[in-house]
Amino acid sequence: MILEGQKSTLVRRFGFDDGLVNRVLGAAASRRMDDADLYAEYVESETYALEDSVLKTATRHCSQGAGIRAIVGDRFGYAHSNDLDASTLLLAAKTARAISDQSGTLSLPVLAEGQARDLYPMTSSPLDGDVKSRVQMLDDIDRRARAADPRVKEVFATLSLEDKEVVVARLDGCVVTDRRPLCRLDVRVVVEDNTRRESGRSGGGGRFTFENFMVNYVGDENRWQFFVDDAVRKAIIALDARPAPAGVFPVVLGPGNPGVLLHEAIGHGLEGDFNRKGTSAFSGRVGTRVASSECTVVDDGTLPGRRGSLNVDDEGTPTNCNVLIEKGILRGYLHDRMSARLMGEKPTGNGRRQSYAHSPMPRMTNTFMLSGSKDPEEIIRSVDYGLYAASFGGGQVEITSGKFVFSANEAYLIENGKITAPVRGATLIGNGPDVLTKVHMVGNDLEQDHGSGTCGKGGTTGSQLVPVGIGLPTICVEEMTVGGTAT
Amino acid sequence: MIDNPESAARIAEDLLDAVVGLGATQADVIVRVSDRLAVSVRKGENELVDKAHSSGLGLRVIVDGHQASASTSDLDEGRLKTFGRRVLDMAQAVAPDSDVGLPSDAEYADEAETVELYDASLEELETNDLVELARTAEQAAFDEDSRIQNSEGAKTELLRGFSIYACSHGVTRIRQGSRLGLSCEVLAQSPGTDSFERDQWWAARRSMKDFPGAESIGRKAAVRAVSRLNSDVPVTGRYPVILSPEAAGQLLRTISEAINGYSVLRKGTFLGEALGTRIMSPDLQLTDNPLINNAPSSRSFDGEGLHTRPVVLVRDGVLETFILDSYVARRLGLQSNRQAVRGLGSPPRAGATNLHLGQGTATPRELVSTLDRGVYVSSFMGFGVNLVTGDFSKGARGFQIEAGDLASPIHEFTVAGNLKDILLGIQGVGNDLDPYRAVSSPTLLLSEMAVAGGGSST
Repeated sequence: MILEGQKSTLVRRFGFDDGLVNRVLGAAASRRMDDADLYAEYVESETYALEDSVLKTATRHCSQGAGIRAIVGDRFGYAHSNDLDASTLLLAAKTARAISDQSGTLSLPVLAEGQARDLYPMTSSPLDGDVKSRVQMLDDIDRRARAADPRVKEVFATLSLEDKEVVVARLDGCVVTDRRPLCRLDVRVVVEDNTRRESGRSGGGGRFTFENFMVNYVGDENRWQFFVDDAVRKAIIALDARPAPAGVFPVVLGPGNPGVLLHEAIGHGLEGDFNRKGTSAFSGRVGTRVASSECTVVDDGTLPGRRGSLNVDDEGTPTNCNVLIEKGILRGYLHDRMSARLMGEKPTGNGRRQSYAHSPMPRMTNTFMLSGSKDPEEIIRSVDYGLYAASFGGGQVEITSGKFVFSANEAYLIENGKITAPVRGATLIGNGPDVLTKVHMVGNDLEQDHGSGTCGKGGTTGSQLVPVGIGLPTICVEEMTVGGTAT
Repeated sequence: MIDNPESAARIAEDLLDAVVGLGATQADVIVRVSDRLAVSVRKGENELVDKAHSSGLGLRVIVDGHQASASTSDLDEGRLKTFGRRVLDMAQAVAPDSDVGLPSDAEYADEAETVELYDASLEELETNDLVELARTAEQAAFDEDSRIQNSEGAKTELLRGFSIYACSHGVTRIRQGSRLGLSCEVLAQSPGTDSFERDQWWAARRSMKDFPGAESIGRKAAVRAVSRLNSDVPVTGRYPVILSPEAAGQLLRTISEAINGYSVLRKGTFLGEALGTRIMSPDLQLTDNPLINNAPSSRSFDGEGLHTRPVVLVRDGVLETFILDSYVARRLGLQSNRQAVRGLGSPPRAGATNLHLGQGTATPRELVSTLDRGVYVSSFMGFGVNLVTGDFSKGARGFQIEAGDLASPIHEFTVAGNLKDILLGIQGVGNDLDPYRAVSSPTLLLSEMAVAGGGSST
């Protein structure tokens, strides 16, 4: 939501007005600066955790702070503090400026054009409303999970609600504000039968308020009901899971959260900071083929209400739908203002930071592949012996060698074109620059994930977490290494 | 702005008085203040200077068994009282739990052991000193091998600060700390091929004492990157596996979750019923030692203000206790191990400080020489652990072992098995434990595991 002055907590409580912003930026800037910005945030969040059929934990977190950055060429000074008074900020600004004792000419990046938009309109904060309503939903979750199957022994649910207000002011005169809600529900169950114990988890959310968990979501279930049923279903299936095979096989990925493949295989490798330094396996490859012609992959920060979406990025640039790979050809990278300037390109609206204590880096928003033309059933039928992976826990990538992994937590064998037995979780490993060249069947069933993704990336100011979205239609990867135990 | 421990302690004690006055039965407060200076150098040039001051407060209140926690970085006295009131309201919504509560007076009465956590001379380091360290490390990496042509940079980070713990039992504890860290990450390219690899090395201490030379850190990063060039994919099969200290440390991190009291309580670990049983070879010891001088993870008191002590978790292969704070110890009917860790706004949880697997006597080379054929894992990638069942499947890179020696580098493979078997199957332990790492193991020789690379056996 775009804020007007007096509705801003930063303005009301901390005196963070235009006058202060101008003085601080003035102190950070020098004639030789390429860019400078001031980022301030105020965050309130609450977490509620259900365990043993009761509300076990309630925590609340409040923080505010500002970070000031002064940039010359590819160097920058950064100073931040959670103290928002004028003298501290002015000192921070001078500290940030101290880096700029190098020569350089003033050159501003090209401003990306963008519409003013409101992807998560808020009439109230996610933190409004009383604790009773949260407790009620968690109680209902517990009851539903335990009633679903007598083998359900433990139920855990965690609800997180966040309200973050940011102000970004830049040397080129751009000032934006944004107020960002973020909610997330996680459900985990432990099931036991006579011989085994297993667990299953599900969850999600988005940039909306608490009531949206009660809204119809899939079939006749609302969001929280869907997550409960999904977690129980996965846990029960896991009780029958046998060892996964080990070796190279065709792998069919189901729609939605298996999109983590794209995030790891190509997403990080296309971030502008790695590419302007030439350290990515995708460096220098724009215009070349990196996937089959069935594959078009985008990073789109403009999807309404989604976890990975933003009205503006954390440098004030409006977000975009950026085409990364078009019919298999690499079209471009994801940029923040600095990598854009250093590569002579436009900022793409991907400059993000975990908090005021971190400087921005190119990060993903919602990363997904567009639907193709195949019927998903046909894709499964085409495999003699392989794996069908419906859901993943997470992944990791090393962007220089291009090696990436992602770990399935719900997977089945495919035998003679049919999905048969569930298999135990296995890690899949591949090589980013060529895995998508092995995708020749893309389904017509694109789905986004449920909204629970968090991306971690190490940077010059430390490791940073940001919320992201992923999506995928059903696809078949002809060859992928599956890390099972059955050799 | 708070810049001394005494004023932080006063703020903590005033808040405690306020919430007790408003009806809290028990309460504790943590205040953390730190100053950070970090520099990053890339290809010899200053890339970033980052300076920060941060302070935060965490409050936990208990009202007749109802507990709630919160954190704030707004330390204005008036607003803190409002904050305290809000946390008390939250506590009312939470179900009462007769096991929540501060540790006992007797536990608080234990004396502190000395441990070196702070080096005042680090306060004198300036930006240029940090830049020099980073530049020296990176230059040494470039000088080490001509195939090192690019760099992500070398970074030096200096942290100084203090922590306060205060509780309604009248206990106030203060500790000062410092930490200096240096890392270097470089890229190697094999001319005439498209083999392109990166690797890094780092060190951290609480003082300059025993700090490895900056050149040695840069050189090691270069050697590691170059050793990965022109990696092959191994053939799928079952092989005995040797874990480097880095890979063994990653395995140990998983084990520490598996023996965490909260995982046991939540039926979320395959070791939940293993107390008192043998889980590893009888030669193995696993300890958590918070009192190692100069180690970044050491501390003098835990997240509930209790003076820390070393804990033996596994003795002669037998699991003796879990990682416990006072709450989960009560729930499990065990003695607290003074292992509470605390995020500012959260209630205490259990966590280890310096978790070390006991040192053996064999050199890493001796362990490798015992294998005619095997896989040496340099490091793992990804998550891939089901803690409930012990199923383990991770991406890996390393070296083929042939005729008792490390042969070609290998990558893009996975290693899988079950943690129960992996632990019982530890055949050999090296003598190369790094005592300054928080989760540390020597080189380990394991039994056979399933390795998936090229080809398949089905």
